Amino acid sequence: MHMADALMSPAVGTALWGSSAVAMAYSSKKVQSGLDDNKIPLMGVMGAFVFAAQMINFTIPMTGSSGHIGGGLLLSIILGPYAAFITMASILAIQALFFADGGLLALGANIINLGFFTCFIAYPYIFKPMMKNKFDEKNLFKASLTASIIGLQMGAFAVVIETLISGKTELPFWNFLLLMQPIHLAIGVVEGLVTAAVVTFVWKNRPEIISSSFENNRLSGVSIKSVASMIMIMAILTGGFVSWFASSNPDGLEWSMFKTSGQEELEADGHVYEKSASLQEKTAVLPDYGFKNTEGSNIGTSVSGIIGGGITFVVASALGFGINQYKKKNKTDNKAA
Amino acid sequence: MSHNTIKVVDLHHTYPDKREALRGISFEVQQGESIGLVGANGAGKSTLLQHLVGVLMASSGSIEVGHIPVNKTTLQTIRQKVGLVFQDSDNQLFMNRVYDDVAFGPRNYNIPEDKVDDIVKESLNRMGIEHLAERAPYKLSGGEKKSAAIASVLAMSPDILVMDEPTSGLDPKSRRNLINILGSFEHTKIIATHDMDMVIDLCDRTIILKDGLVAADGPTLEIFSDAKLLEECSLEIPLRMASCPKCSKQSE
Amino acid sequence: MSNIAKSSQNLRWMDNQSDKNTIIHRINPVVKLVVSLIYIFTIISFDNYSPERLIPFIFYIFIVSSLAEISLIHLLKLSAVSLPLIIGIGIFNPIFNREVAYYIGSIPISFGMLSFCTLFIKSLMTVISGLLLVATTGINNLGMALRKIGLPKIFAVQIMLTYRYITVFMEEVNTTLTAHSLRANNKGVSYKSYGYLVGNILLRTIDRSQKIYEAMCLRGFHGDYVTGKNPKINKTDIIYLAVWSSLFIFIRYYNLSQIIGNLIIGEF
Repeated sequence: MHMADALMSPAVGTALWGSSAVAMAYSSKKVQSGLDDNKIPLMGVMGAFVFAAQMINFTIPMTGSSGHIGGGLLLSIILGPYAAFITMASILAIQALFFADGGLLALGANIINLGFFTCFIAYPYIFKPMMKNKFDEKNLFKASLTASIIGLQMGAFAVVIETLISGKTELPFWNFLLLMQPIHLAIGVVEGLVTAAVVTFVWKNRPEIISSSFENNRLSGVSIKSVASMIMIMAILTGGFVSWFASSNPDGLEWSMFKTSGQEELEADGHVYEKSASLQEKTAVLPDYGFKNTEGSNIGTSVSGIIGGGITFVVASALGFGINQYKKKNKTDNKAA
Repeated sequence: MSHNTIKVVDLHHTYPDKREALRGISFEVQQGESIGLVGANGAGKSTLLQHLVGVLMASSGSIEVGHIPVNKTTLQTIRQKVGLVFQDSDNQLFMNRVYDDVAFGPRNYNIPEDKVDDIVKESLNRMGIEHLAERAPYKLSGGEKKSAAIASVLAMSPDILVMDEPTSGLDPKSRRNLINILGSFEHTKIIATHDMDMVIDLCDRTIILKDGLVAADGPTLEIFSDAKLLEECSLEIPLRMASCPKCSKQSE
Repeated sequence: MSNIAKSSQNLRWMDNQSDKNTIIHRINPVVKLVVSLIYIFTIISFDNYSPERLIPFIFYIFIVSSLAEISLIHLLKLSAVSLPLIIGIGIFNPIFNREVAYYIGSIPISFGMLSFCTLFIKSLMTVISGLLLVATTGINNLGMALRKIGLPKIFAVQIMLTYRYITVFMEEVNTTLTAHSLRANNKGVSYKSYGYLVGNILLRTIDRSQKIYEAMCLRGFHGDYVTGKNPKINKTDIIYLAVWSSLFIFIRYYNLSQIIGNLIIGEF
């Protein structure tokens, strides 16, 4: 799932961009120090391939729904983890820029969620070890499925955490988790099956492609040290930014823990609401992150704010319209002249 | 001047899957010659072209371009002398703007940007596509793409142009346009093609390849009127010559 | 399959927009990128419960889109892609947070409603500003701008290469799917066929990359992907940057809507 800008706080967005940048810088160095110049066009066309392949939906039997490939695992198998990571990043960038799929500030987060976990954890530590013993169809199937599922679960979990810390949704942690993980379990299964199908085909028809990239990748393996240090850097950046923002910007941050007393609540809708409310209180993760913020924003004067907002909107659109008309008039004047 | 000659001596090429694509090709090309390279699919035309630019290396035999042998150490020089135009222009145009594709070559040789601009403008001019400089490749028609691809090769200022099926996929007008432009080039040209009529228009000399060997090498009109030879090489008399009373009489 | 047609159309539209020559298009791409990022950053730094404070940010969108002659309606249509996610998650806000914030007349407005509203407005603004950036800049300038703000060169190169071949591959996928559907008797792509279909395209992809690599080498490529000169920054660019960033920061800290509203109410 692609994170949107509106769901992130500046702190989380910046921290993840920082982490992304670190991972990208490291990967670029690794790719450039590799021996193959021909990786560059290969990465480019593989990126375009994954992009286009994502548009092929296949029907999942017995469910009536359809699925498509994500790409991280397949790219890692063909290109190796570092090149695959950069390729995934470029695919995500194009999706964000040209297709409004994922935000610009959230791009860093998406690169981590959808790129890092598949290329640097699922592929080297799940897929490759599972294929070490024997490279055959059955192993390929199992490894592909396992790696995809775990990679996507990690990505989905990251989304939940990022959203939680950003505090833009009132959805409680457990509810969101229970929403995200099962969906991504299904997506992970699809991804695994699809990757297995494609890689099996390639392996049966042109085995040298698979074996040569395996050879290369064995030589440029992903060391635990580098993965661990990347994760540590991310954690430090996240913690650093988040606390810096909290201390320097008291207004409007979702750190307020005050529940107003003396404010009426809307009438409860019956048992369901009461039950979920009590469940929420009992199982609230980070119960300190209350979202019922009254200290930060000035509620009392909000009515005038709404009026002012309306007027502002009208003025802005009038201005825009005016510019449009002016330009059109200029064009027709020029044509007539 | 002998620096634009090509000398191919007993060239052999065997692919990794043991397929023998070239089994002893020999010929010589003088500067300024225009040679048509014809033959059935699989006869070895594309393989031969790739050898001429050093994309493939000989299993045995040799190639010399302007007295420089083609091997791994001379590649940079060879590729400045010989330009190859691919059959699929999409593989040759890999930038997002025609201008950048044409400029790619000169930029790689660290030529200053204003000089690059002159070279690009000249190459585009030569092909009559200055107006396409800012266009994205995917917006071009087949003929425009081919012209852009050729322009990108011309920007390298090669002395010898080697082309793989240049008119394939072109509509009649683009095809005629291309033939006219190519006819105005003074480069040494080797054109691999199925378009026999184009060969008649552009090439005084023709080489027929059959099963990795040279089956014929001589004046185009003479070769093309030998119906028996053409049939043996899985070819046909070009349409233009089929109804020609003089030529059809010869084939009887 | 209509996915592909729609995506190709989108790309084409974006490309055509970025070919225009307005004052906005002529602004230095790095400046435009930075302004967009500041815009998005400022917007998402707002809290959850003051949607009215976001409204003044719409000036940027209206002014830039009209100066750049980009159809706002079309941008809205394109941004519809991002809405399902926001609505899907945001709709829980009014459900889970029903504390009343204030009343408009006798209508209670809950915090949940406010946060949903805020989320929605933020989403629309950030997405449209992103699309506006791309529509006024184009892929080549974007690649250059991304490099200039410090992203690795190979990343920018990959964006350009991937972009270049997306249309080619979408065409190939289209052809393959059409060929399949002509013999598939109205069924979708089964799991078994998928491996063959996509696998074949993948093999052709790898072969094509080899040809492209040859094309690059034949024109002198030796590992370092070269691109052209970079546009300079002039006075207009600096003014653009200064005006917009100060405006954004000003609106961030001064509740413009409230000020105007107070004035109006004060009048009465």
